[in-house]
Amino acid sequence: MSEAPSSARRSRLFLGPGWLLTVALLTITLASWFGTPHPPNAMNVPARLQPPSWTHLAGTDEFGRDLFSRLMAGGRISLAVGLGAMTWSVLAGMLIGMLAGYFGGWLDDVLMRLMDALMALPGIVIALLIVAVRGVGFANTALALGLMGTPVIARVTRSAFLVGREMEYVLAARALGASSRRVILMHILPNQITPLLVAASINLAAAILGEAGLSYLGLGTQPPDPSWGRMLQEAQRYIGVAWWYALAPGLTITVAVFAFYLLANDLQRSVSRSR
Amino acid sequence: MVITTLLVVVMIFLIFRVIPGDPALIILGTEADEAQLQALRSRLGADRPLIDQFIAWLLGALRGDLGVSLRFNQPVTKMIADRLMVSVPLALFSVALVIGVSIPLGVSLALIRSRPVELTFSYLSQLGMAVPSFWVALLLMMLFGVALRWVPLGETVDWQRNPAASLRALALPAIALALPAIAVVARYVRGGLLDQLGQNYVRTALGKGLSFPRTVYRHALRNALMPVTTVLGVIFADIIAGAVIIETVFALPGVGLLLVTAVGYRDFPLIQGLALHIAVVVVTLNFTVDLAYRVIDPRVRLDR
Repeated sequence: MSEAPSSARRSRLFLGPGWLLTVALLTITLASWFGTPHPPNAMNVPARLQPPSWTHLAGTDEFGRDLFSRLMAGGRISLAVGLGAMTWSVLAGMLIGMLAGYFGGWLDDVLMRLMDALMALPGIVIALLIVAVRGVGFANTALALGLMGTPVIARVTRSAFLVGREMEYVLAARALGASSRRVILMHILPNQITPLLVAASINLAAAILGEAGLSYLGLGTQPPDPSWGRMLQEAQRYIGVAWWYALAPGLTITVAVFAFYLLANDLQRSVSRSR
Repeated sequence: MVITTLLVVVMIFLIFRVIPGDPALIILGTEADEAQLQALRSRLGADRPLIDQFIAWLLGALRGDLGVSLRFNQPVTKMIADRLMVSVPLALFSVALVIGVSIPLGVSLALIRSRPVELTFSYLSQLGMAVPSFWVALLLMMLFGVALRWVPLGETVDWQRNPAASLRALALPAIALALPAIAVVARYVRGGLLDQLGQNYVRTALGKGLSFPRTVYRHALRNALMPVTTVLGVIFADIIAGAVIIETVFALPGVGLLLVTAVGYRDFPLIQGLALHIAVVVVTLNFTVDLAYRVIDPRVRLDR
C-alpha cells in the first residue's frame, strides 16, 4: 500500500511531441519580442489582401498588414492571457481542492457543491458574465477565463488529496507532529503533483481557446492589440476574396491549443512510465 | 440537484451585486450625472436591500417574469422564448449529428485493430478538440458557401414562414457545433466497445456459436453505449455553450447571439435572465441524463 517516494520512483519527464510543439510555439512567440518580419501594426494599403508569398508568409490583411507578424505578436497576448487565466484557475482551484480533499467533512460538501454550481454554467457563459460586470480588458479576460477553469482544477486536486491523505508517509508525518499546512504542502502536494500538471496543461489549452472565442466576439483582447480570435472576426468579411486571411489565425489557434493538449499527454506519460 | 440549482441562482444574482463596480455607472458611463444614476439604480432595483432584491427576483423568475430588458424594453422571458425557436432546433440538429456520426465511427474504429489507424485517430480526435468551432464554421462557409455555392451566405431567413429554408440555414452551424463533440463521443464509443469486447460474456457468446457481428451489436455495443449516455449530458451542455459563438458567426437569431448582444449593451436584466435560463437547461439536462441512465441500467442508484 505504501508508496514511499524514492529516487527509483522519481518521475522521469517524457519528452514527446507535446514538448516539441510547445517549445516551438514559445520560441516563435518569444522571438516576436526581438522583432517580427514586418511591424505588426504597419499599414501598407497598396499591398492589401495579398495571398501568401515569400515576403508575406501568411499573406496580408485589408490594410496590407503582414498576417504572419500579427500572428506572432498576437501570440504574446493570447499566451499571456492564457497563462494568466491558468494561474487564476490553479491558485483558486488548488486551494479549494486541497481544503476539500484534505479536511473533508462539511467543508468538502460546501466547496464541492459550489464547484458543481459553477459547472452548471457553461464556461463561455461565466466568462461573458464576468466581462459584462467588469468590462473588457486584459486582466478581466484572464479572470473570466480563470474562473471558468477553477472547478476542474479543484476536482482534480481534491481527488489527488483524497488519495494522498491516506498514504502511510502522511500518517507518519502527522504522527511526528507536522501541522496540516506542512503535511499538505510538503508531503501530499509534491507526491500528487502530476495529475495537477496534466490538468493545468489542459486548462491552459482551454483558456487559449476561450480567449480566442471572447476576442472573436469582440469581448476579449481589444484593438489595436493583435489577437488571434479578433483576426478571425476581421477575416470573416473577406472569406469570399481572401481564403488565407481566415486560414492563418484559425490554424495558429488550433496548433497552440493542440500543443498544450499534447503536452498534457506527455506529462501523463511521464507518470505512467515511472510507476 | 436542488441545491446546485439554488446555488447557481444565488451566484447569478450575486455576480451583478457583489463584484465591485456600480452597474448603473457601467451602463451609463462616467459622464452620467447623479440623478440619472439614481434613476437607473431604482429601475434596476439596486437601491433596495440585497435580500429584498433577491427574493423579488427569485419570485419573479418562478412566475416566469425575469424583468424587462433595458435596451429593448421587452419582457426578458418573451425575448428568450422567441429565440428558442432557433436555438432548440439547432441544438437538436447537432446532437442528432453527434449521435449519428460518432457511434458508427467509434464502432468502426474499435473493430479496425490496426496500430496506424489507432494512432492516427488518437491524434485526430485530440486535434478535433483543439480546433475552435468558430473557425470550423468559417471554413465550412468558405467551402460550401464560397467555393461550392451550395449554401447561400448572409441570407436572412424568416423562421416562421419558411421552415425548409431555415432548416437548411441550420445545417452548417449544426455541423460546426457537432464536430468537436463527435471527436469526444467517438473516443468514448471506441473505448467502451473495446472494453466490452475483452469481457468474458463476449467470449461466451462467440463460443456458443454466435456470429461476430451479432455479438458486437446485440451484446457488446449495448453495454458499451451505457457510459456514453452520461457523456451526452456534457456534450449537450457543450453544444449550448458552443452555440453562443456559432450563432454569432452565422448571425442566427438564437439565445446565444442574444446573450452576446446583451453583454455588448450591458443589458443586465437580460444577461441575468439568459444566464439563469441556460443554467436551468444545463442542470435539467444533466438530471435527465442521470435518470435515463438509471432506467437503462437498473444497477445504478442515484445516491444524491
